[in-house]
Parts: sequence; structure tokens; C-alpha cells
Amino acid sequence: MRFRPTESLSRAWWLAVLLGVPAVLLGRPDLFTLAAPFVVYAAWAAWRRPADPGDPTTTPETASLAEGDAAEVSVHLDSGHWSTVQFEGLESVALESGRGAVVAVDGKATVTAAPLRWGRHDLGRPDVAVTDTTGAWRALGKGEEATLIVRPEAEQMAGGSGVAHPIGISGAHLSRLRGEGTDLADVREFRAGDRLRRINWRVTSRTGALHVNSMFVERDTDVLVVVDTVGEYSSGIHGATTSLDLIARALTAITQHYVRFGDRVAVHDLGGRIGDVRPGSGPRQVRSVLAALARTRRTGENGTGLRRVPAVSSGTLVFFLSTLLNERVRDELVRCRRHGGEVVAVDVLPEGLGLTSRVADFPRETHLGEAWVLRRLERDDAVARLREIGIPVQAWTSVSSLAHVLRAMEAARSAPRIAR
Amino acid sequence: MKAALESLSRGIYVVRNTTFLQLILRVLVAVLGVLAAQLAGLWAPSQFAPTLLTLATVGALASALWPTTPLPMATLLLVGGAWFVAGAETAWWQWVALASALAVFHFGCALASVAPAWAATRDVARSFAGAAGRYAAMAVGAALLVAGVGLGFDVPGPEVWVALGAGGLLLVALGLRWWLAREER
Repeated sequence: MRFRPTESLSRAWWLAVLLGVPAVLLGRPDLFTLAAPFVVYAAWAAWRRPADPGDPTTTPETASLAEGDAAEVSVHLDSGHWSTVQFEGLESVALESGRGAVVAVDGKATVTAAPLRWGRHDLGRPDVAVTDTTGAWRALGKGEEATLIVRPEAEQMAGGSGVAHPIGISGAHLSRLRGEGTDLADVREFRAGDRLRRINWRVTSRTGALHVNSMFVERDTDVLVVVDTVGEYSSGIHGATTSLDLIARALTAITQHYVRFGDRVAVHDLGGRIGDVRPGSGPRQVRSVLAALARTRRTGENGTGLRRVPAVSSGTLVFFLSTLLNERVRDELVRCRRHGGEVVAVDVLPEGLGLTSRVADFPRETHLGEAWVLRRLERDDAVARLREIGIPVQAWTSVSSLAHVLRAMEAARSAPRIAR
Repeated sequence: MKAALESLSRGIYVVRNTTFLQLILRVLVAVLGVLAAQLAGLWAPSQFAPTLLTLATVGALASALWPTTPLPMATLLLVGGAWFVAGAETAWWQWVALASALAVFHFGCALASVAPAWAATRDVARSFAGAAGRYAAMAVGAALLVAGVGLGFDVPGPEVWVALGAGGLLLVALGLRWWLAREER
């Protein structure tokens, strides 16, 4: 950055000349007296001309914080002048200090930034102005870019596992298969190959024939969470909950829930805004999912492309988090089911969007309210068809939203199935 | 029309979000600007003074809202112009009083230009006050000195001195202009 004269210095020069010249030419000491403060200012500025300041640095360049926290972002300058820093305003970040502008004398201007939403927020390069202590010299420049990465809050989901047909080798879910386990499935007659320690002596003595306890095998399973980030929809403005917010809440809750069972959880992102997360288990997988969410950009255009779900293994538990507004997305949901996945559709359309009672929220001349009502009717019709073909669709309102769906799916474990 | 409305909305934004320090500075700018215009009108009445000084009053008030624009320069020129027309027959203390008011107005604008009106200021008030004090002492001292010295001279005096003074001022002006152009590059 380089110091240049300010408008104050130019003003002083011109006034010194415009009042001083007639004062001398006309012999007017009064005009010369009026010119004196400006002559003094110009001379003072010339005498106190400072050395050029160094380039500003921003700390931290990237701040990682939890939802609801605020970060202090500082711009450092190696100078003892008046440093003014102005961060560009973002709708998603509340700048608590002077709307992002701050003046400091110690070369360190600090702005408190409180993100209003989870995800990645680029504060951009702040405008920096260094003015010397005469107000006559100013250097303009840009600070380094600052980024805030906000982890969404992870909630615990309520309800059972919903796993009817676990596909792993060992784990916490009861499978339909009989074998080595701890939960009693049946008492049956002894067959060659049965372990002697499984013999039920009470039943054997009562019936006179050898009987053994048959147990359910306990296994883990694969959970795939498909998230629809192709579009982000909101029922309001300025901080209203969006479909992406609901997806984040549901995704973190589902991941936490199944990781507790020791299951492998993977994430497939249809819109590519969050990004895929490879299958994994344990607390590390929860951190991976939170990190992926924290990196999500909350500004910019919605994605246009749709990344198809790769082949789903039979028995995989698939949670499909979507607004179900897009026909191609609904086709993907049905395709997951056809591949043999145990599919649960989680509706993340924000509450109130497309309801006739909310038409007045939109500008009347745009007819957006009416358009949303039509779009919601069309979607509700599609959702009804999904239910008809056996795909449960449940709106996400809280962590207990899926409880009864999961319990119903668990109960289906012992239900008779049609042999194919 | 659109530009005028934009300027008006910017002005309303500035007024609504001004910090306490900036409010003090801008009130000082407005008060001293208006005071300078009124003093000039009172002490140097002329045919053109009412028009010039009404414009200067409006300019002073507008300068408080937009100190980084050419408005402060225009205000000072209007007051200077009104004084030029009819201020020759005034007393030395009146010159010094008006020069002091103009100096505070000028430096107030310079300080108000350091940051936007809504910028948070941390430990800056003391620094601003220190700079303002230094400048006020120098400016008022210089005005007093010039007024005192000016009273003792029989100006315009010999033509040689006038010519020398004018030539010197012209050289200084050209030198300053050249320096300014070099700095702006």
C-alpha cells in the first residue's frame, strides 16, 4: 500500500493558493489570515509525510466454529496510523462491530463476525484504509480473505434402528437369520450340527426329545443417506429455515444414530453442494459428515446438475432427504428402491411453503404464491404415489420425526415375506 | 432523480448509523461551518453576501453528511468569496475568529473522512483529540501571527515587494501542484 494525498490535503493546498495569492496581490492581511490555517495544514502534512505502510494481513484466515459461536477476525497493519477496515456485509453473517467497519490506532482492527447459519462463509477481502494522524495522507488496499467454517449442531435422533435386514457380519441389529446370537428366536428339535450348549434341557426333559434354542443373528448394516441439494428452498427470508438446514439437521441426527449401532454410514449428495462422504463408522464418521457440512457454501446459485445415486446393495438402509419437488430426484428415489434398498424418504420441504394460507407472503404482482401452491399440489400428488408403491415418506420436523417409521420397519423383520 | 434519491438514502443511512464519535465530529463540522458563514455575513455584509452565505450554510450542513466530497471545499470557497468582497475593513480579531472557525471546519472534515460514519472506533477518540489539538494550536497561532504581522505592514507597499510576493506564491503553488501530481501518480 502507498500513501497518497487525501481530499483534505488537496483542499488545504487550493485554499492556501486561492486565498494567499489575492492577499499578496491586493495587500489584504485579512485574506492572508484566512489562508494561514490551510498553509499550516499543507506544511504540517508535508513535514509529517509518513513512510508507506506494509501490506495488511488477516488472522485467522480460516476460523472453524460451532453453530451459534462468533469469531473475531483481525486485520493487522505494521503502522501506528488510523487503520480503517471494512468487511463486506453478508446476509448470513452478522458483523457486530460497526456493521463490519472498525477504526483502530494500534495497527490491529478487529471485527466480530457471528454467522447466522452453518456452512462456509467467505467474508471476502476487507477494504483497508490507513490514514496518517494529520488526515492528509491515505493508503488504500485490500486485506487477506477470511473464511468462517461453521459446524452444524448435531442432534440425537429418537426411535429404533429401522433395520429389518442387516447385511453385515456382526453388529447390533437383529437379523431374520437364525444362528449365533443372544436373542431367542425359537425352540426347535435338535438337528445334526447344532451346538450342545444350545440344548434347552427343560423342554427336552418335558418332551422326551432333544430341543435346542434357536437365536437371532446380530449384524451391522450399511446406511446410505442421499441428500438432495439440487435446490435450496425457504418459506421466508432473513434467517428462515431452508430445506438445506433441514437436510443438515436430519443428516447429522441419522449419522449419529446409526454410528451408535456400529453401522457404516455413507452420504451421497445429488446436487454436489455438500459433497459425498465415503462409508465409515464410529465417531470419526460423525466428524467427517460435520466437516463436509461445515464446508458447504451457503451463498451462490443452486446447482443445476443431478449426480445419480450409484448402485445400492440389496438390504442397504437408504434415507432419502429431499423436498421431492424435482421429478428427476423422485426417479432416483424409486431407483434406489428397485435396487433393493430399504428406502425411507424424509421430506425436507420447509413448513408452510406452498400453502394457500401463505400466498399473501409473496409480492402479489409476481403470482409466486399461487405458483408455489400449484407446485406443492403436484408434489403432494407424487408423494401419494410414492406411498402407494410402499416407500414411506415422513416430513422432518424434529429428531423424533422418524421414530414410528423406523419402528414399523423393524417390526417388518418378523413379518412373512413373499418368496421370489 | 435516481441519483438524488440514492444520495438521499445514503444520507439517511449515515444519519441513522452514525457512531457517537463521528456524530460529535459531524455536529462540530456543521456548527462551525454554519457559524463561519454567519460570521462572514455579519461582519462583511455586501450585495452578494446573502446568496453566497446561504449556499455556504447549506454546504456546511451537507459537508457534515458527506465530508469526503468536494462540498467542504465549495463551502470554504463561498465563505472566502463573501469575505473577499467585503471583508477588507474589518478588525484583526474578526479575521482570527473566522480563520479559527474555518480551520476547525476543515480539520473536522479531515477527521470525519478517516472512516465511514458507522465504523466502530476503539481508543481512537484520544488520538483524534490529540491531532485536533496540535492542529488547532498551529492554525490559530499562525492566524494570530499573520494578523499581527499584517497589521504592522503598509500593504500593498512598494510594487517590488508585491511582485516578489506574487512570484513567490506562484512558484509555491506550481511546486505544490507538481508535487501533488507526482504523489497522485
